[in-house]
Amino acid sequence: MQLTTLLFGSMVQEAVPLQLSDWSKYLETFAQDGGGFALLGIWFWLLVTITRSATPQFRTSRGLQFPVVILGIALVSSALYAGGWVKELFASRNVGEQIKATSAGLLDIRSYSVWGNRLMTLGGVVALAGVFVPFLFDSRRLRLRRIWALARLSFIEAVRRRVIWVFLILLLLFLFPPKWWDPTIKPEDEIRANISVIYTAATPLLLLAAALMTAFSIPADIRNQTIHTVVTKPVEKFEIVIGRFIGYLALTSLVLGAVTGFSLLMIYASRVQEEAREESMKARVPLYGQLGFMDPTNPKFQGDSVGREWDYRKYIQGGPNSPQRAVWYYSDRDLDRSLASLPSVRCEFSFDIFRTTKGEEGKTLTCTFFIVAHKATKDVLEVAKRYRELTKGLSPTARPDGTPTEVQDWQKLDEIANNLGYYEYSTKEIVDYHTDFIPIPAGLIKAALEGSPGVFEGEGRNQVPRPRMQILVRFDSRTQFLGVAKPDLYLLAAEGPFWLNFIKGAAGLWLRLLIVIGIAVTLSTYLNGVVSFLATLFLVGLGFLRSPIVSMAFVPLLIPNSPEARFNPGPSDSLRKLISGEGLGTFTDTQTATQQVTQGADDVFRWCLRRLLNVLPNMERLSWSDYVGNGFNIPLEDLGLNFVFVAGYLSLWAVLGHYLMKWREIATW
Amino acid sequence: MASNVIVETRNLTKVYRDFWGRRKKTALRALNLQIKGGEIFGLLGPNGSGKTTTIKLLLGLLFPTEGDALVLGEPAIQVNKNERIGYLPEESYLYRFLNAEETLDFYGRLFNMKPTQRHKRAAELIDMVGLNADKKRVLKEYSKGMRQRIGLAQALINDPDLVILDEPTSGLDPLGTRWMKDLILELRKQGKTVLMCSHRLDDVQDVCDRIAILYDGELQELGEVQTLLEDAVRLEVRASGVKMTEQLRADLDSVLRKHGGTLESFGHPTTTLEDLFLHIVEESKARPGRRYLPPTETKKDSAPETLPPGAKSTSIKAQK
Repeated sequence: MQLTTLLFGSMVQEAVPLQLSDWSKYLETFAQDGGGFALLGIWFWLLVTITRSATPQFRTSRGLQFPVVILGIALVSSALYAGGWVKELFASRNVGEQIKATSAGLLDIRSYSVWGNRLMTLGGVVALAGVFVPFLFDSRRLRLRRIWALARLSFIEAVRRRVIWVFLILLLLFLFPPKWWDPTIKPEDEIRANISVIYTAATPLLLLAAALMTAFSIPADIRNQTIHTVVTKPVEKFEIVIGRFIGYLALTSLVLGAVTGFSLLMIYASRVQEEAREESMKARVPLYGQLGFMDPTNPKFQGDSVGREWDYRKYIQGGPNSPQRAVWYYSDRDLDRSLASLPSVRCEFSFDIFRTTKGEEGKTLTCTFFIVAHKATKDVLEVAKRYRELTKGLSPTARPDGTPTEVQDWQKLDEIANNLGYYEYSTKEIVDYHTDFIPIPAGLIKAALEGSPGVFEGEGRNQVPRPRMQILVRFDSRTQFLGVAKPDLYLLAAEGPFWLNFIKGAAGLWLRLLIVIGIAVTLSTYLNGVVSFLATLFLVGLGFLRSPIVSMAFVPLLIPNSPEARFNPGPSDSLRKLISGEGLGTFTDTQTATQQVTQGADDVFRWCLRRLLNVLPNMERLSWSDYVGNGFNIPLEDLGLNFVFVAGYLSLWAVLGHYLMKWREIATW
Repeated sequence: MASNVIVETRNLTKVYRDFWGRRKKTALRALNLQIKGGEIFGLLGPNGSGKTTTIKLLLGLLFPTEGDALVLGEPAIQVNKNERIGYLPEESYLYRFLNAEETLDFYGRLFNMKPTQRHKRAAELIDMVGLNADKKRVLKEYSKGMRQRIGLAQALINDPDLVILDEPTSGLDPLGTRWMKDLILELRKQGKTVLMCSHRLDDVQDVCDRIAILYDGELQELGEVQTLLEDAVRLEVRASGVKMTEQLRADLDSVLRKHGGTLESFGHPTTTLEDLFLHIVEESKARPGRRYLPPTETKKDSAPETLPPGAKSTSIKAQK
């Protein structure tokens, strides 16, 4: 069955949404990376304190100062980190497992040693306790009413200084529908273009305004000495930091709210075209499975590359006799039980077609879909044969919302699918990069949800549950390749309201504002206004460019012992090759002493890049405008977890800001 | 610390260092002093003597290099003690985008003041400092004197026990200076302790009970004003109802010589310029048509100009 209008409602999802089930990995990462920086801070403080008390020119009558407790914490944490690292080092020599990406969008370097990982996590926890416990102890003196007073002051100051209004006026120009001045926009792209313009304009303008206001506020207080009249009241210095943060966040949130409301009003008031409504003015709730590939003739088949630089998709070979399948596995956590109550379930998809020939004249490109519940997987060929026998004579256009005959046939199909746990939709016409769908009988979903699928047995795969349902796709067209990625096929669980999704999309920009204001206010406790502003822009700017840094920092680690890993595209080895006249793209199996040295240097370089990544905020991830523009629901789980991530990231900046304010003499700034 | 001692410093030292920790300047060396409750204490010294450093150490704006400072029984770096302190800085460092009401409301919020109490106190202080007519104007439109007044108002918002004033009369005209001094005396009457720092020696002399004089970071003198200023070697006698004549002079000289002393000076005492100025201003207010008349224009039968009190008496100074 085909829609009268083909949709483009597909979405490229390069970053997998965060999932609550991965919470332990997130916490581990936070403990290890955050703890590392905390430990660094503790050692730095110890060095300064002990050196000063030991140096004659600094020494006071108090004599040599040895903060025993903090020193103990530093030593214990360092020992744990060192122990963990040593265990990892020895274990990594025997590694054979492949690195996989987690749902965090971080590259989860699978620990080579469980105990090594645990030791480093514990070391991180100890170091974090060393900085957080005194911070929390000091925080008991904070008072909400004083923070509120300071926040109110910041709010009034920002309003009366009028910085934000200038940016708002500039932004207003971009909030009107782009079709008013660009008639070439395709009807189905109307909403997508609108969203794109709004967020492309709002993001830099609001972030810049926030950074400007915040970075100069405390330095101006210090320069004008207005801070003296505040600090000589019963005000904790950190309350000034929090007050500024909350005040500016409140103002920018109000502005963002106004911008969001106005944009939404303009969208609804601008008579959206029918194609755009169908395409994007909704919030599809997709259920994604896990993508795999199958080829009985080649058990190691993981999808082919067709030579495209962008390796987002893998490809299967076409042809009615092709053994290659793309398979979406739906396990317990992927399959929502509410699907069983629907009359039918839409399976939407959008694939890429890679042509090696022009194709056969007069013939469209088609796919065949095989949907298999767990009870049918043991003897699927027999089940398929039985299914074809039972469905002979049924209308090929059977659907739940068709003519009475079609509805009747659909009901029979539903019963058959429920009994057998199998459903097939053959020769479904597909169009490159267009979204289409097939209906799946609810009876099949019920069959998939019944009973227990069991677990995989065998060495190394014990207790891994089998999927409840699989959707296999065969590309029927000869000499062509079908490109697939995990988000290219999904079950449509529900459709939410567009306006709510639009508001959720604005939350991404709000989270970015949170980061910019948090970083700027912390830096401004130590640096002057201009330097704080530039440093904030630098960190946030690099945060938008994480992907290239990630690829530089992690590539050789992704596939250990592979040619790519030995290729070692690091700066030291590249310099060696330039000097020696070797081709930059060559590598050899044997390694000279020089190569080993340069490899070591490049490993250090990549380690430093990974530490830089720990400091940089993940600004790339905090954007859901694609979801809104393409009509996909923003998962609350993803939004919520990203909020927690941002809070965790800013908590470390908050601790830094607290200690910077606490230890500095206000009157000498 | 004795029960009546509000501020105490013990061996208080402050050395300013550069970023690398090298010694730049010793601003204060081993300062030991006590300020008792209910007195007005003056801190004097030339520029760079350590007055402001002392105040900043007491307020916790600086950390001591050596020694201790206790304010209201607590270490100076403790924030809690600020509940009972009011501070007027040398320049009125207030937020220029706020008006007077908003300024006092903001600072009032930083104390544990209920809204009604805060509003009432703010209204009282605005009235006291004479800024009722300008309370809705933002501070950037205020003159220096007006900013000084609102600065004082914020220092008193919490009805503090200890009031620290850094150059309180700076930028004020004579009327404003008089008003400020009267206010300081009124604070003492209310049982508050006042620590003031000033270059204007006449102001300090007028109001302070005790003073400390600093020079190059060290305490040079400490004591009661009256005792410090008293010239025990000389005698001053004031008389009225006599005319200044040579005979009187000779007679006085003779009497003093009989007692072993000598007559140093003999003439009419002078009032202070401040008193003269205030007197003329008050006269001008009372008699709107009043103007200056040069001596040649003065009519013989016109009533003599009223002079400030004490202007007609005779003063004799003698040395023992």
